[in-house]
Amino acid sequence: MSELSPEELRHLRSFFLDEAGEHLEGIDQAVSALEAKPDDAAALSSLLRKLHTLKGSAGSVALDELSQDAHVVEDRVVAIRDAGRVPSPEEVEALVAGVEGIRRRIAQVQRMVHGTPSDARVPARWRAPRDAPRRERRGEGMQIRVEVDQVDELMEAVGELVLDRTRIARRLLELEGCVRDVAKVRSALRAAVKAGGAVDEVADELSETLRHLERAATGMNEDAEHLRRTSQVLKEGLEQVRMMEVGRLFQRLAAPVKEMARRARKQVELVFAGEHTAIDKAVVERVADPLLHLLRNAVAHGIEAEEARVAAGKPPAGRIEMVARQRGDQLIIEVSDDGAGIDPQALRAALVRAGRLGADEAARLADADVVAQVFTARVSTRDAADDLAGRGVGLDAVKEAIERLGGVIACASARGGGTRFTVRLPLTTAIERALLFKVGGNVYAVPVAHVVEQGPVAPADIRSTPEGERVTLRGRTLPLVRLGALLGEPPPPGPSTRRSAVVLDWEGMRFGMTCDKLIGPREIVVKGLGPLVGGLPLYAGATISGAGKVQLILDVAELARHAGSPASLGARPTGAVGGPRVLLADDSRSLRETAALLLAQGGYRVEAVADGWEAWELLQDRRFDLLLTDGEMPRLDGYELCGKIRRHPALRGMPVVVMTSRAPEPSRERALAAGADAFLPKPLRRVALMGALAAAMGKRQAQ
Amino acid sequence: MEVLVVELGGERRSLPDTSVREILPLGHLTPVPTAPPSVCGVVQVRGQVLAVIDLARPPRVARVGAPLVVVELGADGAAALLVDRVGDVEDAAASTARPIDLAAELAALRKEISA
Repeated sequence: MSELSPEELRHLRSFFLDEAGEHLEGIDQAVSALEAKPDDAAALSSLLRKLHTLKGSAGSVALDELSQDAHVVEDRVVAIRDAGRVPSPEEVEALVAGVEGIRRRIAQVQRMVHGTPSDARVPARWRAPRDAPRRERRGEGMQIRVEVDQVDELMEAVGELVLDRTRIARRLLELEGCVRDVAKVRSALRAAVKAGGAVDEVADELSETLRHLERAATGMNEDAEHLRRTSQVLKEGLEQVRMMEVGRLFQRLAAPVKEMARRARKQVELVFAGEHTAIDKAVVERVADPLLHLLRNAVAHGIEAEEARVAAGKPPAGRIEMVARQRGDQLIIEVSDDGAGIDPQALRAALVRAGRLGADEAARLADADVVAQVFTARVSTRDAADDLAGRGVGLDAVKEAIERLGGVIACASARGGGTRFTVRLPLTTAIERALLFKVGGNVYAVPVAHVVEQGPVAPADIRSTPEGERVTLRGRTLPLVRLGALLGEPPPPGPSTRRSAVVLDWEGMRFGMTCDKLIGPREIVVKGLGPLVGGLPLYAGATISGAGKVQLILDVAELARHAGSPASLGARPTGAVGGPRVLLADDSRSLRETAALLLAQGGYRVEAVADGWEAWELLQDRRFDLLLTDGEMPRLDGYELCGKIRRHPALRGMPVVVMTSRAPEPSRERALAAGADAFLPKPLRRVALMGALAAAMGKRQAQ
Repeated sequence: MEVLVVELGGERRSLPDTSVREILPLGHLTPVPTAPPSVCGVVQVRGQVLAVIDLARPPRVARVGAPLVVVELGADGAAALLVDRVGDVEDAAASTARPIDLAAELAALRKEISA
């Protein structure tokens, strides 16, 4: 390999590292299988194959020591296989140790390739420039490995796409032909009518044209379906190129954690959830080390020694959980342990010692705020360094690494109750299949992955219990969340009997959710809500409809939290915007402004329109608690509007207040005759306005 | 330095020119039911979802066509401010309009959201 320049070698080795990561994954899996079942011949031969490949690859990029290490382990496996016997526990143990050696060697190569560490305990690539932690554009300078087969599949799909285009172009010609035919029929019809002759022949021609049109429509349908399939293949293909299941990353992290626990003489149970969540391949490489560091901390500092655990009334084995989930356009990975937790008092002292905080300041800070500072550089709550965790010094580097990926990390801890790190990473492509439905005139979505079933529900299926509401669907009783109540939407007007319900599943918990109307499943592109609105727990993101409207995606975890809880029992949850919704119709802008102001001050929510027709259209779409309308307006006046409302089956119970500046008595009579509940003379006075609204609503509620 | 003068709640206010990305009329507004009253809802601007914020007290009704000023908020991304009217660009030193302290308004709003 001496003919290669150091630069070339470095480049080649960076490719090797990608490959080595995958081999190591396979090796870990095989070794785990052997640990569980030493007579697993398939695992043994898989291990042999992977070791052999690794040995060869390492040799080809002049990594002789690594190649030698792999060779030694390979020889041991060969010996076991050739003897045709089941490996003894000691032999398996030796294999595990050998694989650990290989892993360490690969880590060395990684450091060599990616730069020289200035601090032996913290790999250099974790360190962002101290002064300016630059946020990289995701994907910048990153490489991902793609199988040739995958690319071929995508090429094939693109070929289909070209075919689709040709097909649609041909269909267009057909349709143009139909248009010409219709025009001909029209001329023929005119001529026939003029001549007073028979139109039978024209009708025949028309039938023929109709048949053509029908054929074209059927064809169009097929084309659309074909295009949908092709885009589906493309989407899935591209996802496979770009994404992988996070479970593979978890598996890779499991082996070193087991090894660390063994060396620390601690019993650790490692639990995974959400392994099928997709993660960006380019991100995997860069998030693996920070996650490993968190796991290492959990083993070394989080989980207590066995005696201490037993003394604290905990099970002797510590538990470390890694949970992944997608929330909107973010991937969330949580690493938590049930260990001793961070001692805020000790951390305060450490922060003061490190000169990060003044003593007064430290004393003033709340515990949670102190814990949040655990990422501050060079803070350690334990004094003796040990070889397992890179000590407290690692957490600042972890934070920097996550931030460089455009993510954020947070820490929560309770003394004695464990520690949880939450990593949020942005997703490059977030296309999801979501179920769309309407509540209060607005469209919302939940990911289809959480939907178990959907269908109509009758009021009799819902009942209240002391624990909250329950819904019975197909003989099964589930906790219920009423979306209308949760979103602060008034129940639909009129005697609405049947609603729709969706059964959702969150981490094994099943619950029902009612909505006004189901729309159906759609492919949606998930958008972030930004840091501001994104801070509201109920929304996981948003999507944009074909018409350009924003539709909110609800967070299933948050819905599960509300399901069946008494909070959703009609009561408004904290944070929901209160106040009845008033639809205000008046053609005078200044009146609208005045009334809107008075209403807002009175705690009402207002939507204002300029005439009765606009109001009527809005009423079809949205739900209001009350209509406040001017009597005289263009297009559709207030009296007619009121009459229409009273004749409408769903709206007829709506409180209506009519205002007018005309002579009071005749106007009042006219308003009441049209079905208004209250009458209000102009100009508006606050007291009279509030009184009329309250009277109208009270009157309707009493009915 | 220059500022953009807007009318907000009947008062002349100003925004640093550098934080203004664009001015556009309000299109379809999607309400965000659990948001504080000063968040009127969300809109999409060229594929990005932005919060529409009304800094007037009390917040008013956002009507289609009302002028929105899209402002850059640094790490907080961007948001659309609902204003009554958009005025001229003036020299910051000479402007008599009361400056809008975006950072402070935002911090207050964030506090309200996380409460």
